[in-house]
Amino acid sequence: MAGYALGGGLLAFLVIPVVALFVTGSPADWLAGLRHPITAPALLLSLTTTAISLGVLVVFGTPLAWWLGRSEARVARLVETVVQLPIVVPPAVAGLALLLAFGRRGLLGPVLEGVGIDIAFSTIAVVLAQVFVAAPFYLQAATTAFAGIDENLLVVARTLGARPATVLFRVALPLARRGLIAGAAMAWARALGEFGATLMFAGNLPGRTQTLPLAVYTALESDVRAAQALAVILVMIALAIIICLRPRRARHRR
Amino acid sequence: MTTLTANIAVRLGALDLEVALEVDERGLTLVGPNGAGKTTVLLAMVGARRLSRGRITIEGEVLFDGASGIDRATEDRGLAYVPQDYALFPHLTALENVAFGLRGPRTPRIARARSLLERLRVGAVADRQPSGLSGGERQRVALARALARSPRALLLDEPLAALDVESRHSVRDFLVAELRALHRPFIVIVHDPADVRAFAAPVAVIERGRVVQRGEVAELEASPATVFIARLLGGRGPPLAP
Repeated sequence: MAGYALGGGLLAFLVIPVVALFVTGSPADWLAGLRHPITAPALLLSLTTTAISLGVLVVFGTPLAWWLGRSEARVARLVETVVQLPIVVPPAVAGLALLLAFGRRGLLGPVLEGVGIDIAFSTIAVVLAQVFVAAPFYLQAATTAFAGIDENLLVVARTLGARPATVLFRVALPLARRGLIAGAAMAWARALGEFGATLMFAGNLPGRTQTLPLAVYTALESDVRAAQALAVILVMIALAIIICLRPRRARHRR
Repeated sequence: MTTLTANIAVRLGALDLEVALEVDERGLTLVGPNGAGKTTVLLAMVGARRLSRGRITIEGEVLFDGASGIDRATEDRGLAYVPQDYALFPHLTALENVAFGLRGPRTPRIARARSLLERLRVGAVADRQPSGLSGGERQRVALARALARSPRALLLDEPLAALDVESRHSVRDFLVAELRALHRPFIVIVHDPADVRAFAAPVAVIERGRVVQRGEVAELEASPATVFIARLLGGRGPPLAP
């Protein structure tokens, strides 16, 4: 009985703030918030940067996850641990680290300046911050998905004349599809919600680096309704992702 | 007569494998206790396990030679491999599984896959996915898939293990007849004495990574070299050490 009360207490704590987001404002308020000048540029910036971040993650992360999932080398286990680091590092620390690495006076600053690239406080910085914090979510899911493929399927495919690339596209990717999609969705959601690292590394410049979460923060100072409208958008997106992913996972378990 | 020869040495964790096998169209049944390295032998032959040294040839053509650095890719060896669980691609239908290894335009590929399934008497389940097939059907689909590319030799890992008792006999007789009719070298791992006798092929016994005896079934029955062989074939057992 006490267990129910404790669990129920936590559940209520998790649900009440989300409910508050919706019930403390009216649809009219939200419409007004949506029309606020801060909203449209932030929404557009968030959608474009997260799309690019996701593309970067899939293109660069899929080969890495393949290696992590299939290699039995000890170094692979070490790398697997290292790539989880962004999950436990506070976003503000991640932002500082990115600044110290890619900023004008950072580790790679002179190199980047040499080729005429100024990353800090640009839209590129927004993308880098998102990739940094979201990468573990995609890598973890993709690694697990690839590791779960029966080796015999890959060997048999080769004996049937398939080159390694053919095996990847016709056997491995289709079999890992669900895990890859789930990982991509979680990574995208994490990128969309990214705040701390973006603020530290990319700043809060409307139209250039002010993504939805930063806009919520900014709007709060002037117009709570706008902040709330933006927040509702973010929650709706998050809910949509969770709902889309749930039935797939359940099917997977069977 | 086509001959497949394999001299292979593999070190893999606790397994220290070193075997020499020669197989012709009469086939070879491979027996041995669990963990003896039987599956590793097949995987090494198709190129899925790294050999520390050795030499594999088929029809005189070298597929692997540690000394001269020849190491043909798995897809170029022409060896068909049917693992114990058959490893049918779960996301493809039976027909698509068989067509997987075929090249060229779609229509003739599908036609050939379908005719193979029909020849193996599983044409009726062509459009089902592997999860909807019985053990015997899976085995026939896997065999059709392996035969589709006209392999130079077939390697089958316990093809009868996944079958229930009722279907076992008919599936086994069918498999034996099919393999004989191919006139290609084949290696089949089995663990049941009835299966060993049914294949009526030369036998090689592997224990702890070494071939401990080879010969015809009758020879092994008459003078088994180890306790394992004696127990397997129900013979008198090896002579006691003096």
